[in-house]
Amino acid sequence: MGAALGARDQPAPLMARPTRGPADRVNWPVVPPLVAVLGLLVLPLALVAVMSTRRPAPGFAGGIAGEYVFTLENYAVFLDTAYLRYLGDTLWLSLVATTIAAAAAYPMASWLATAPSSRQRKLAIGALMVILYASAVVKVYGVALAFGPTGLRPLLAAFWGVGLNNRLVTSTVVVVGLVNFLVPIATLMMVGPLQQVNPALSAAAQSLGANRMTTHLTVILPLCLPGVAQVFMLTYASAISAFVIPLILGRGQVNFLSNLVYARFSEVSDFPGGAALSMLLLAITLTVTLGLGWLVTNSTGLRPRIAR
Amino acid sequence: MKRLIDIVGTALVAAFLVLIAAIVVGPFLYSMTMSVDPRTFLGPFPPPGISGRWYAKFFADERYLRALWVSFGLALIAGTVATALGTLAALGLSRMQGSGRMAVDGLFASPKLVPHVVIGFSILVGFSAVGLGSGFFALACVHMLVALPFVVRAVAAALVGIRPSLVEAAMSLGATRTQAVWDIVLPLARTGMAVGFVFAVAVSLDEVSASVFLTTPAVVTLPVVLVSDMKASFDLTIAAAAAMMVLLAALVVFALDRIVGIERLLGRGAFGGGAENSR
Repeated sequence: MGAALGARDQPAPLMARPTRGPADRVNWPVVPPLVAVLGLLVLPLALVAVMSTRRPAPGFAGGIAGEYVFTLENYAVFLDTAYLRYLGDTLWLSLVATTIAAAAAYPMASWLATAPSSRQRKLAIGALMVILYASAVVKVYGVALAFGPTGLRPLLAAFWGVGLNNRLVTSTVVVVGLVNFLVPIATLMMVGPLQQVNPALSAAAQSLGANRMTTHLTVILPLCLPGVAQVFMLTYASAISAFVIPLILGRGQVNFLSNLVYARFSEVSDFPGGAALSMLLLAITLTVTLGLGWLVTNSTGLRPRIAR
Repeated sequence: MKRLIDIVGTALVAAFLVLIAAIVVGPFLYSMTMSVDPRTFLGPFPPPGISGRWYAKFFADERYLRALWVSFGLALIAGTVATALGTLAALGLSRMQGSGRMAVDGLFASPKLVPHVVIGFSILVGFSAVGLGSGFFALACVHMLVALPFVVRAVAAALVGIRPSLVEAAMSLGATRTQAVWDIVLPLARTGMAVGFVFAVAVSLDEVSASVFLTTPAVVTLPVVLVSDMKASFDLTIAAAAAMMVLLAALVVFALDRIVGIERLLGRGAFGGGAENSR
């Protein structure tokens, strides 16, 4: 036995070790999805940006192949008053709807964040999620049906004191459709920031004599303001990008930017024009989501913490 | 005085919320009730009886059935590919640090920031430039892209709860990193992947704004068919289709609840017990 031990120079390895190759050192998992996003999102967006500076050729949807004339005339579309009104509709109606939705989402999310009963909470969240995942098309149809000529539309017309097909009535229906769409999203997103607030603070404030209103307005809301503001911005961005809602409920009278892009694609076959409008829509959405969010963070000094 | 403010304030907020609830839930109930309307024309609410004629009409219409198949096929394919790529993305992210990680994280989240109309239009332009055109493959790519951020977020959330020492222990016993991930991390992240898959399927079934740019006469998704029908006529067949999609959504939520529990998806933040934070 001593001879056998002494005959070995090194102990044999316990298990055969697989060699550690580059697959171990290089972060390869991140590569396929990265390629997918770059190829399907970044590159096509770059192509659209290039196309937006191309002079449109009537009859040729994407312009004549091989012929590229640089021009910024596609972006001049908003100097036309009709298009300014579409832009105004997009921004203003979305703002109204987002404000209403956020005002509704705050108390509901507040309840969801603090309610102790597991059963109730589960049912409420489940109901919100069913509404959320029922297709947007379903919701738009419901609103269109409910506010059709045999539904609530005559009531709205009477309320505003105008004719049945007036733009004001249509705008109201679009806002209703947007609110219908935005409330579930806003509520579920707002639960996050509201949950971060220490529950003891509310109890402490009330034990010091504040009523519930004062507690909410002076203690809770300022603390979760960055998160709530961030949710507001994201909701606003969702509203601005709405497509189906203004398409069906707007009845051609109210058009959002996304509808204009679609019209350039399907009706007019003006791809450079559609590209310019796409870039504008993207710029507006990114400004709202990232730019204003950055402003909120820097002005309050607090970092919003919600799950995107 | 303070109590009076509270009472009035609470009453106002409650009234406002009732109005909002009516706006959010009302149209659903309206269209679901009208979907069993026996009248052949669109009359005022409520329907005088109950009839399944619109559901029969839906299932008899070949366009709708074909669109249903296309939507299901797209949802499964896009959902599976999105889950695979999203899991890889989350795994890759977990190995990165610092500003590089934030940049890549932002890149994977970016499809959520771009309006779907812009995504659809740019894929159309991009695919046309390389000769791929519209149709099923283009639609699958778009649906996968749009679903990806949801999968990444779900899987990343699951990966957070997996201790890195498990992988290190496996590697110290002789496994390569890939083996360790495949044998240890992925089974533990199963829940996150399942949640991601369900989200991806739901997103794909609902997607319409980007799909309108990429459908062909032969390949159309169900939401796109419904939207074009809505513009053309206000047939109650659409109400029947809508009711069925609500049912589908309920199934999705039920599946999510079975897999992970709806409460866990939101967590309880500062209000919860420690149970969810320990693994």
